[in-house]
Amino acid sequence: MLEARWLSGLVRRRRGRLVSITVGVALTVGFLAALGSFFSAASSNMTHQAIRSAPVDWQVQLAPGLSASAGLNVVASEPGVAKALAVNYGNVSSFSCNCGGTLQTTGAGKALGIPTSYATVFPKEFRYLIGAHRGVLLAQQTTSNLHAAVGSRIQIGLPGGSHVELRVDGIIDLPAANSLFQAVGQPSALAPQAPPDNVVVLPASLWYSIYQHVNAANASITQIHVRLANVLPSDPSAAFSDALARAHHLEARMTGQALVGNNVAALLDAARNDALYANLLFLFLGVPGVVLAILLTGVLGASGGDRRRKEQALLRLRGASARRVVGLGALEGLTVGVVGSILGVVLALGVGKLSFRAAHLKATGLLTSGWTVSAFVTGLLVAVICLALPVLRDSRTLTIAEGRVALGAPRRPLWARLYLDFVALGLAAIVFIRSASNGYQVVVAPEGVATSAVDTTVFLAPLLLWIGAALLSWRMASAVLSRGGGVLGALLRPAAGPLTSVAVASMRRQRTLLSRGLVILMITSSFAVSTAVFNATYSAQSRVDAGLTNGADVAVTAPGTTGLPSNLANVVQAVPGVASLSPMIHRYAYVGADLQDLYGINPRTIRNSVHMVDSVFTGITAPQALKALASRPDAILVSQETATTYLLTPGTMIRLRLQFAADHRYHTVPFHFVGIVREFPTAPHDSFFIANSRYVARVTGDASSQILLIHTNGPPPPVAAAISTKVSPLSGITVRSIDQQLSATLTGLSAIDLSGLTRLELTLAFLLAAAAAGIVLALGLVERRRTFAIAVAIGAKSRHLASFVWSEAVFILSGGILLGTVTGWLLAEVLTKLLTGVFDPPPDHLSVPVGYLTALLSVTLVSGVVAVVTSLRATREPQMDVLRDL
Amino acid sequence: MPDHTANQSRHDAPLVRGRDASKDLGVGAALRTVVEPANFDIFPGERISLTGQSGSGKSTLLHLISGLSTPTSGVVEWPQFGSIDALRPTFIGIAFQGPSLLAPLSVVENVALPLLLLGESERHARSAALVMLDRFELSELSDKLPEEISGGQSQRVGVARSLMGEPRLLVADEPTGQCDQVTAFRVLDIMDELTKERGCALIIAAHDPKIASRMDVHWTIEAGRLARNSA
Amino acid sequence: MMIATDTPSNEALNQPTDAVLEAHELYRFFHTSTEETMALRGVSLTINRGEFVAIVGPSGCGKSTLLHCLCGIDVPDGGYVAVEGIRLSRRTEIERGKLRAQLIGVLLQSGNLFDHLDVADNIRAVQALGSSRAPLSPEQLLASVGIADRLHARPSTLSGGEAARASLAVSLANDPPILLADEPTGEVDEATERVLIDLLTERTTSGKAVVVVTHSDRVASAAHRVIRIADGKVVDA
Repeated sequence: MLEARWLSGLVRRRRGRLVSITVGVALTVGFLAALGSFFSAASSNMTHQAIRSAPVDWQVQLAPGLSASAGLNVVASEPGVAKALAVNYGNVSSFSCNCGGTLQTTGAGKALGIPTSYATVFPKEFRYLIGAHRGVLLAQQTTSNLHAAVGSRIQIGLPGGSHVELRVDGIIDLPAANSLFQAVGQPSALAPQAPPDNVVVLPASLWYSIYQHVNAANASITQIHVRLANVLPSDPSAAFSDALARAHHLEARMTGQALVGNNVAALLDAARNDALYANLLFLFLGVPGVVLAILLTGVLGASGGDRRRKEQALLRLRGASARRVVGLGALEGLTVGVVGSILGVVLALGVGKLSFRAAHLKATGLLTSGWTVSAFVTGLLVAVICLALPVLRDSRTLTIAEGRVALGAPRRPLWARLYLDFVALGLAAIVFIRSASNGYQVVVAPEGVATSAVDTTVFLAPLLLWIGAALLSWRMASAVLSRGGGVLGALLRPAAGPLTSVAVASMRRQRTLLSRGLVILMITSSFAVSTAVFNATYSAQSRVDAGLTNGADVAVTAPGTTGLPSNLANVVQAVPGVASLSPMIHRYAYVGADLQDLYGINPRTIRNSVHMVDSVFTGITAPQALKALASRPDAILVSQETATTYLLTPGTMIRLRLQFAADHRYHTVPFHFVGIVREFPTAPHDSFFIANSRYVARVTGDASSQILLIHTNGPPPPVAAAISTKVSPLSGITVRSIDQQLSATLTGLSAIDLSGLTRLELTLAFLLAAAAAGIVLALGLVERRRTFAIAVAIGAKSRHLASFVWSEAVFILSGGILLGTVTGWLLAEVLTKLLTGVFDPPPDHLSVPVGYLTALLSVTLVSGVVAVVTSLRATREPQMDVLRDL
Repeated sequence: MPDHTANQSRHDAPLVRGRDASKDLGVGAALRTVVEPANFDIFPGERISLTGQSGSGKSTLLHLISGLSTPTSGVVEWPQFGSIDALRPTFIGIAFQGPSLLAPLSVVENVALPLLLLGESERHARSAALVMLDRFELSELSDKLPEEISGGQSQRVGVARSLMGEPRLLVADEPTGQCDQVTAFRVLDIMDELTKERGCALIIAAHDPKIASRMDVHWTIEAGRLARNSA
Repeated sequence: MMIATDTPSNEALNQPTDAVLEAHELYRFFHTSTEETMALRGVSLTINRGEFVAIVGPSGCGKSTLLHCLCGIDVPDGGYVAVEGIRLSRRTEIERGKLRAQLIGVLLQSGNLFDHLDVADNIRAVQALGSSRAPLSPEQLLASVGIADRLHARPSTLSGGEAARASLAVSLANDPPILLADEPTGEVDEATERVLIDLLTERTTSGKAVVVVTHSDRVASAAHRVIRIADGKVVDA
């Protein structure tokens, strides 16, 4: 049968052409499958991480009057609830201990009553430090306040005035104290609560035995702590909506007698935003890579187009209908597509394992992933389109006689006549400006609202920029070749000598081939440059973000407002690797009824230890802000949110209330508002103050520092480890290096793990750029084998051919790389601006990955040179098969 | 009648000398001897016709003579021209049977090419090319591209090109196969004139006996075996 | 007839006739970027059964263009062509293809064979696209043109003459009533040319028609009739 013989003949004798398209398809499918699977795995990973990180999924606070057992029954029977345990929170008026010969008394706190299985079901709530894991467990902060130890006898004051004595069985830390003691049902903006400093955890039976006799009102509350079953969907947005809906359902069932503190939904809320940004990054960074791979496949498919057209014309001559001819093309495409797609999936498996963490991609997961199926189908489509579409087009537009001759001088393509390049660039500018005018809000996700939207139209800006730049490059290349004969001739004359006019004429008549080569190289270069620059900028900003969160290379932080030991600074200074350190005060200050964080620094010396970026200040640079702070003792920098809320303007007086050491009471302290700060090392993101530490220490009578910011000489982690040994584990003091913060940020929910994606992208970009240079030049030379063979037969020497070939190679390489770099840089600028939400804080400028770009340039040039040298070498051999035709 | 010049030239060293020169083509099972060991000399000014059936090895023999390919065994030398790399376009011009114009170059650029390869200036090469095209009555095609002219016209341009550079030997493989007889004879007349003017030897493969009979020396080749009969 | 004819203009052609091919007032223009050439200017001709017709003329006179229009691979800008009384021009390509596969053998100057198929497969491919008549086997066809030993050779390994003979065999694969050939003896030697002429002449004895565009005097003299074309017009038929 014709189709079988046809295909068999192609496989046996046109292997080169089939293999090259198969490779293109494999690259396309492999990249798409790896990308897509990465993203679906990453999204579900974000969901699972969010869910896993919740110490307690729901904290259902029961209204007073509803018994614990009744509440527990309802909650436990709610669909999706795997485990539910009742936890009692009892108020404690004071703790005291006659420990170590002195009587120590603290302020108010809480007594928790937990069932015996609590630690098994919710292991993240308690961290056992010393002593027993059951019985009376004292929080380590409380232990240090009371100077207590295991075995000590403490007294707790109950509401109503009575006291109870307890023997301490063990000491614990409460790593999730913020959520454990959250005020359920209150909006987070009001009454930000620091968790109680003093906590004792009792077995439920002991707790009940104590509090059943307490007659005061509001002496205790009961919460049902819930662990949900594995019922939430893997997509973060869907999981968030589901978690909210389930909680609302429970609240409705309990008819107002309970409120759900939805911890898991809060974590999923953050995850879904991150997932949305991840999807955006997929669009912005991933899709161009796929487009590029498809383009390259198209180029490979188009090579040898003349020969294919003649074959098709001969088929039509012999009576084959256009449908049959297209069918043969489609058959070739399907064959190539199937083989290429299978190879691509194998490639995706291999690449996936190398690029991403193993947890992201398991073989079975990949194979069954919808993405893989889509990629497979895409590969088939690409192959069929590349091979069948030209046939279809030719059968409709060319007569058989026309199909048998080489194509004549190219007419100006439609896009050039319609100036689509300028149109695309103009539209890109419009979309970009529009996005800029609404502050680059790409993700619209109102807090607490179930749905969030991504403004996908902003994707048009970089896409149209890319397309417009590529078309414009084609126009420019074509113009230089057709009208720039004089300039070209002058440039080529040193190499081409007397053959200059011939070389220029040859380039002019092959301007379609050469322009196409230049544009392909330009597209691959721009992709590589934009991806690399974006990734470098993102990495740099991640480090800045970690720096802002951690404070410095190493940060030593005391718990709450407890002061660091006074000799700690000296001890730390002596640790090898410590270059400089800056102490920082952390207090709480009331502005109005609102309690906010206040930090005290020495503005003259802080920069020794902390890298300050300008972008965290509004309207002024970092040095200017610090100078303003140093200008007067009572100067204060205020966060953007506070300034907005309280309508503060620079130069005005602010009165804050700070706790004085003498009487532990809050007193008014005046400050002078000198500037606005958006973010500050170690400070929370919303509301805070930065003041002069000396002034704060003087007026409050408390000179203790709570934070030590350390700049290291070398890598921070070993220094942090060394410092940790100087600090008592019971003290609650944490020592954290910037690298720990960086990895926490990256694996946590507040950032997107780009590393796997960018490794994949940068590798692909590298390969494509190298391949593009080689392929474009080699293909061009293969198509002109006959011309070169004739030239050699007439008497052209190697140096003559070299002058032709090198002039074309230099044109394509230099034009492609130059235009690609410029476009890539522009794309990176646009992407960075549009994806401002991804950056925290936004970068001042783009980062240049010098190493990668140098390697990219080198490999592209080398690949091009190798292609040219190899082809030239091949032309020295007499081309017998060509000569036979002459 | 033998040409006196040709006789005299026999006392000079030959332009091309073949001694037991043979050529095998193909690989493995398809390997076959296309030209059996052949001995031949081509002297300055000689005019040789080469006839033979298709598949007899004519073209391959011409490739050996012109240095386009090297013999599998035996030797082909060019005592007056030097090494194989120096032959074309300085000493040997080739007119091909099939289409042999460079596609990206116009007709005049194609014809000028041998002079440019010899290092002549662009202006001189172009003028000389226009003169040659005029000689072959092809002036009106000078700015056309190869795809815009017919097969016969393309072949004539190829002949014109082969004579640029004033070669000492013109190797022509069925140079008028695509022309009608009237045109073919006109082309051959011009070739005759030009080669005689320049003392250029000519070896022409043809299967038209009328063309063969115009030459002084007749070689035939059959199943790869060369037989040389002088006029 | 195997192909249905249903257009009014065919009625005028359906007269009892020996004509196997008719062309009437054929015009063909070519446009290049700078100018327009008129390759055919009102060419009319009739080829009858059993005729061997040579079409001659200077190079560039439009012979090849005429042949392309006669076999329907090029579309004339004016006039019509009919084969076996069936109009060929102004039909869809599918219809022209079917007609051509069954009724016209086409032998062009070059590019008659698929490179990636051997000679036998080339013949089989044409037979697969062609008629329902019991075809000759590839072996028989190649034997009839004298290259039976090249059955499984790839086209690129054939000599010029062998390629011409293989191409002829392929064009006759479906035993068409008329063969249109463009310079079939251009690349062959005298002996082969004689063989080809004999073969073509032999076809005419069984009522098949042969039309050959040629430069060769020998072919022209073997023909029953010579049509001379100059400047796109018939000057001598």
